[in-house]
Amino acid sequence: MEQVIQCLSAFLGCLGFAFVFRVHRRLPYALLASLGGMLGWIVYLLVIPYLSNIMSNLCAMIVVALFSEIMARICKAPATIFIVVGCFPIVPGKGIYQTMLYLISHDQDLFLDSLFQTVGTALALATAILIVSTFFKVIKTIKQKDYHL
Amino acid sequence: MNEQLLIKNIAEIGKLLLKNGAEIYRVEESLERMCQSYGFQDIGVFALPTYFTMSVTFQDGTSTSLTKRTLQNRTNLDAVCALNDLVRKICNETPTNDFIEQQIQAINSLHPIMPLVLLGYGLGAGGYAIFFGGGLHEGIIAGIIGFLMYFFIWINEILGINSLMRTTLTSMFLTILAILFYHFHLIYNLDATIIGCLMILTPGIAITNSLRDIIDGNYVSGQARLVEAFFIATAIALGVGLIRILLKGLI
Repeated sequence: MEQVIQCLSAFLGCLGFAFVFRVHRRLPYALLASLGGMLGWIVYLLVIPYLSNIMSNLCAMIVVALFSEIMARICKAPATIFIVVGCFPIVPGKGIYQTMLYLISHDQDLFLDSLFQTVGTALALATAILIVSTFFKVIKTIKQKDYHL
Repeated sequence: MNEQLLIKNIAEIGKLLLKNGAEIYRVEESLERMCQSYGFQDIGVFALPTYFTMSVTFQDGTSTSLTKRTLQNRTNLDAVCALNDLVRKICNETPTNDFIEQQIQAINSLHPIMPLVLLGYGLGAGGYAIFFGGGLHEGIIAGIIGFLMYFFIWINEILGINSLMRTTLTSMFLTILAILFYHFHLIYNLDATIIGCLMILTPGIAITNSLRDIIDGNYVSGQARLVEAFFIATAIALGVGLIRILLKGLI
């Protein structure tokens, strides 16, 4: 039940961010992007029993980025729209907050741990985008026969 | 066709792309493609997050270069999308100057729908408050705080406060409100409420865009945005931390 609430609230939150970033006249894109964010979180929940937190975030973000690139090609829209909105469930907002909290309460072990987790999550997010974007660039090059032997 | 006017219009499209938060590689690629489609030679484009320069040689052999600087970039994905469509159209159909000018005007006059922006702030903060373990109470209160945050950020922008200070002040503002609501027992999960509201400030765009720039070899822009992301995160933490120390008695 808790997971269902998380997924639904992730969808609503992403939709909110789509509006914040001024996706107003293309409502289907806003909904699709939010769906991508929710999909990412579903993947996270599916893999978290088997993998570490950072690896789960990586998997989730790979799915979000894949979804975004595919949707960008279907809708003929920039992939940024979908990625920027869809990444928010994985953006380490909680990590930033907790790191600060442990710093204030002089809890060094927990502080270092959560700092590591926060930076790790941000790196996972970055790596996922790196992997997927490179993959799609290669496909594009092969398709257009733009390679130089 | 008047090529000087044409290059001005093309540069204007580039400026709008940059201003509305497109990635650097998109700006560079769009400008290059548009110039190519009109048969210009020796195209050189270089863009940074707030600046770009381009130089071309026209078909009669004369060359020109121009630079544009944008201040106050704000993410407007609707405009990026519209500009992207326009660029694609220009590349495929090489329309006349008048048509391009008209389209630029149309995109410029597309104002964001304010009620939706406000709804977005409320929905974003509320949704993530629930996402991070809050209940219905936390969601509603975070939504209200998110709503107020919009006006707070707006006032800061009018006063011309720089973005780092703005982020710090906004995160202080939201923490004060959240702690007050908590003190008067309107919410039970302080952490979830604060994190939900914080999400609005987090540098998600900076992280994602910077990486997409680095992939394309734009290390300077990518690095600039990465640094921005790091500073924003620090500013958020600073604001929350300060208020939590100052208002310790109320928690």
